[in-house]
Amino acid sequence: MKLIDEYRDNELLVRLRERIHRQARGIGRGVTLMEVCGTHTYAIGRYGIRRILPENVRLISGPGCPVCVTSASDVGRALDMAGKKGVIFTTFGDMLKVPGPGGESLQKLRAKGADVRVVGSTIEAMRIATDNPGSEVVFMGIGFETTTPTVASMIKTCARLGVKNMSLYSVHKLVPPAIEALLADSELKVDGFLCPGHVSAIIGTRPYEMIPRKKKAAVIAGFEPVDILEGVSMILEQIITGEFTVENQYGRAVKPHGNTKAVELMEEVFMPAPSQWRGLGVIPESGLVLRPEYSSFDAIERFDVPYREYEQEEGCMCGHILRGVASPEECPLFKTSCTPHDPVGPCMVSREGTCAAHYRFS
Amino acid sequence: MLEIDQDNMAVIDIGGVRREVSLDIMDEPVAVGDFVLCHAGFAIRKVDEVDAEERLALLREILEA
Ligand code: SF4
Repeated sequence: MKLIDEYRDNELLVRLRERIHRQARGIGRGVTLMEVCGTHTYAIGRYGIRRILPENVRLISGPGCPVCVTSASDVGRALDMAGKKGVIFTTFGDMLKVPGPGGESLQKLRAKGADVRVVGSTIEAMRIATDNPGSEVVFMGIGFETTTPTVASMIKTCARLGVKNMSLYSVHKLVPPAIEALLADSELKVDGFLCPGHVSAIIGTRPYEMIPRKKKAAVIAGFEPVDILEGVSMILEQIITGEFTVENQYGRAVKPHGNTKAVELMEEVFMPAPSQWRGLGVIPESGLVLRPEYSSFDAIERFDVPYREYEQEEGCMCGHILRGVASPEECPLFKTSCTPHDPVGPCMVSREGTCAAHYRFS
Repeated sequence: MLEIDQDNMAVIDIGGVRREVSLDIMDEPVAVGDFVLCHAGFAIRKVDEVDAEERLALLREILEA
């Protein structure tokens, strides 16, 4: 297929690999690179990228999987809403299996009779609302800057068409504040970031400028094998020369300004608020809530579901893994009591979760 | 991209599978025949084929050297 085959070209991959090995020998010391995007986590596992990298180049996954970074308390709140009478609770598929307080999940709640439905898009969620005027339809909005504009678009359409039985439970998060939190974490030793391609297609290249300011490499990359290896090679080059900047490997989809309409939509409907991240704690201005003009669509207000603190699953190391300070193999539950079939923590649920990717591809 | 209708919805082909996507959050004009990047039922960006070709050519050159 066009625009795919070129990026899986074997000869190109072999040469890229040679170049990376040469660069790594030149650097000598060990370097650690972090990606912060679930699609990268999955692609790196699927194409066996780690196996072809030199020994002194370590590639780790950060907080890039949306369901993984959702806190147990937020899952608890979703369960409270989904359990209400007359509510049709809709969300993206990955969310269903995520264990909340006491091992309860949306999937288990559904088995007990709650009306929980998986949708592939906000358009589907809205269709459910218009098809069921007698029910309250809640959409749980989860995801980063790639997904949020599609949810903003839904809210605006609901407002325009007067769809009154639809509301939003937003646990949306922003990527740059999380990177900033990671940069401030003294435990984390990262030399460069492989920045997310799809998020950047929306926000552009500027929001990453704090990374080179901290003397670390930043390269936005696509998701095919050539993209990822070229991205790694570009990061190594920045480390070699000591000239740190935000570079864009994924120019075919990422422009410096991003998608201005999507950003405007997002800013019109949402405003930043503190948000609780699994593993990273509360990060200021890293979440998104509806602006006052759209607060009538806020499911939290509509159903008055209080916030309750819940601890993360006992023994689960997701929090450490999301911060890049532990690997799944270090978790005693990995592959023993925690598997994709019966996940203990969220990092094993989504195919984009670090534990799930390691389980599947190692 | 195969078709575009009046409701700003488009039909795309992903490796032989037809899917419907919304063009509501696109900030650039798109036409039938364009490649688009899609996410959760929405087209989010047109793929710049010229940029793709130039970059690949440049990469090949670097790797030759
Ligand atoms: S293997 Fe399971 S229990 Fe361990 S950190 Fe991953 S998700 Fe949590």
